[in-house]
Amino acid sequence: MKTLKIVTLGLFLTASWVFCGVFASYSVGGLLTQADQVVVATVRNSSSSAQTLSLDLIVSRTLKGNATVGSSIAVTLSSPNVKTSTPGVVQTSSTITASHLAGRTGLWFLQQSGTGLVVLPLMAGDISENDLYLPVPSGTLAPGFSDDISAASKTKLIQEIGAAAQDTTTAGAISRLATMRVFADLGSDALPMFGQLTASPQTATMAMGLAGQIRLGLPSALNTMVNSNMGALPPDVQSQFANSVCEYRNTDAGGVAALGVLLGLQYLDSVRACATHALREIHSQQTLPLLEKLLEDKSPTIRYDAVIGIAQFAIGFPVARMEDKKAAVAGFTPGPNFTSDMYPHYPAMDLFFKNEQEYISYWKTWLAAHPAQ
Amino acid sequence: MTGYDAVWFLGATGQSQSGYANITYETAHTNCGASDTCTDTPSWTATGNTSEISFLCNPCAVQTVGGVARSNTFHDIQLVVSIGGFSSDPLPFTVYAPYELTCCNMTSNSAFFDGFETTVTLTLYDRFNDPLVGLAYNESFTATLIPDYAGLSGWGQPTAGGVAGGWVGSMGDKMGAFDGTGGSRCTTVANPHCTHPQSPLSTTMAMHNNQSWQVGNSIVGYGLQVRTDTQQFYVDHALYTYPVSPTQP
Repeated sequence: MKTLKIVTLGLFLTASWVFCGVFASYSVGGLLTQADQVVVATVRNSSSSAQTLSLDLIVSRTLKGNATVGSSIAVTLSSPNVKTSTPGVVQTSSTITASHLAGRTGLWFLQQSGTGLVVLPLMAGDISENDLYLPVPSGTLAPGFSDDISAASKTKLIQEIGAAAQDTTTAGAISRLATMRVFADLGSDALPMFGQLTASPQTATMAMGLAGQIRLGLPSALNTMVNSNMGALPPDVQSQFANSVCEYRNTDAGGVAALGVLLGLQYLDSVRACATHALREIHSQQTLPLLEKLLEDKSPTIRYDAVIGIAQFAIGFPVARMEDKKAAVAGFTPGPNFTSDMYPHYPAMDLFFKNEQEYISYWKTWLAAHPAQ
Repeated sequence: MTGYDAVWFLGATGQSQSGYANITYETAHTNCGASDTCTDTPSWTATGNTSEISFLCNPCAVQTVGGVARSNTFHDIQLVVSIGGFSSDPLPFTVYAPYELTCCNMTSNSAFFDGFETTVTLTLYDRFNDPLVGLAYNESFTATLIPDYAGLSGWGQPTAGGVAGGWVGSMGDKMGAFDGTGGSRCTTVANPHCTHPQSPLSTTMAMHNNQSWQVGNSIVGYGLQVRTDTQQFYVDHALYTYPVSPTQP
């Protein structure tokens, strides 16, 4: 019995250090609004106790707030993932270990809480040290990026992101954050920065720039993507492009034509699916011939999105960004082409898959009856 | 009648949240003239797929409409309010629902000292194939870990967790194995040893774990199930196998 207890205890102490945890990312535009202080700073000292992390930051640049360059500010973070580095302690999730943070430089979003400042992490859920700050280079900003103290906080933030994306020590991390849509809410103010990145000799940085432009609806970026040899790019870069195409919303004729090219069978299924989804959500007059052709596509999801795109055009849906669509559709007024039999032919996906021809033939008939639409 | 024309179905244990309300309020307006009495209490009727919604009261001036089941087609319900024999124009109404969780952008990196960390980003869609952001979600594990490596030891059961709503970037999952204490337990404790990601990635499997995904609640096991899969742990990375989504077609 005694032996069994020892063996059981041994298993408990050595097992469960595999980890797994869900997380979600925030976007930096929202964090910038929430934060009272935003600084580029290096961790001088770090400690932790009772799930609270304490950091002593040395400020090198101030983006928001009144922190003085060269000054020290104390910040804290409370999280169940804050754990002390005690050997032998089992680990079942990501950890925030204080000692790992010493010497790291980053862009920190800080919020006033009582008399102190707390860290606003970039992620929620199962977070680690890397999720607490935006990695930026420790020195001065790279040439081409301005450190104008009189500039607006958002302008400074965009400059920092651009410089970090070009620096070899932080480019990988910034690119991963871009894939997680951490920069998705910067809006058109970020277009010049993304434009700079497209000239980078580093593939990941160039892809981040191009994907950012596509996400913001720049038709020329879509055309650049079409004219590049996508097949030669790493899979993660192709995936980043595909995701950005999914979010492209612009009725510009050149952009729609580029989406038409991306429907070609030489492209990855994910690229074709996202080009179709973009056409569905743009649903302009010019998209209709492309969507009609896609009613015969080999992919059921593409056929579904084609049906919905045509339906959205006919009903008169507003064009909206991905995150705004439900709000935009709420209470919208149908357009002049609307008839009451259209709603029953706007099916949920699973209903469509049970009887595709009912919906496809309805919308084909409608298109034939409205050739000038 | 004024009010929203949609509500969300988040399952019996889903919670209403910003942008994803599982109840909504419709208000009747009498529009009485000076000589009208308009003393009747408004009564509410629904036509179409009426089993998809619930009414809290009837008759009543302000109706609470709840989502009970997912709409089959857009605006497949019509709400009408009647007062004193007069009926309003029908309000077309939809019950949206989270539906499918697709994977994947997956990268495997070295952990701080030893081992690996695989990060996955996923996309959630509703039944009309619209991507959804900001909805609370959680994972649960439906069985204890299952060894793939003979003599497996030191590879424990991952911990399930959840994320509250309100995020605006992307959602994801981390799978990994490493020594967070600054030691080297990947080689001193684990059998098989875990390592930084190799090139090419290793084909040696350590263990797997059955995972279920729920949305509409951050509490483990609550909300509407949208996906199941298997977390397959190799010695230098992890990935999903046997994905099923949607799980409630």
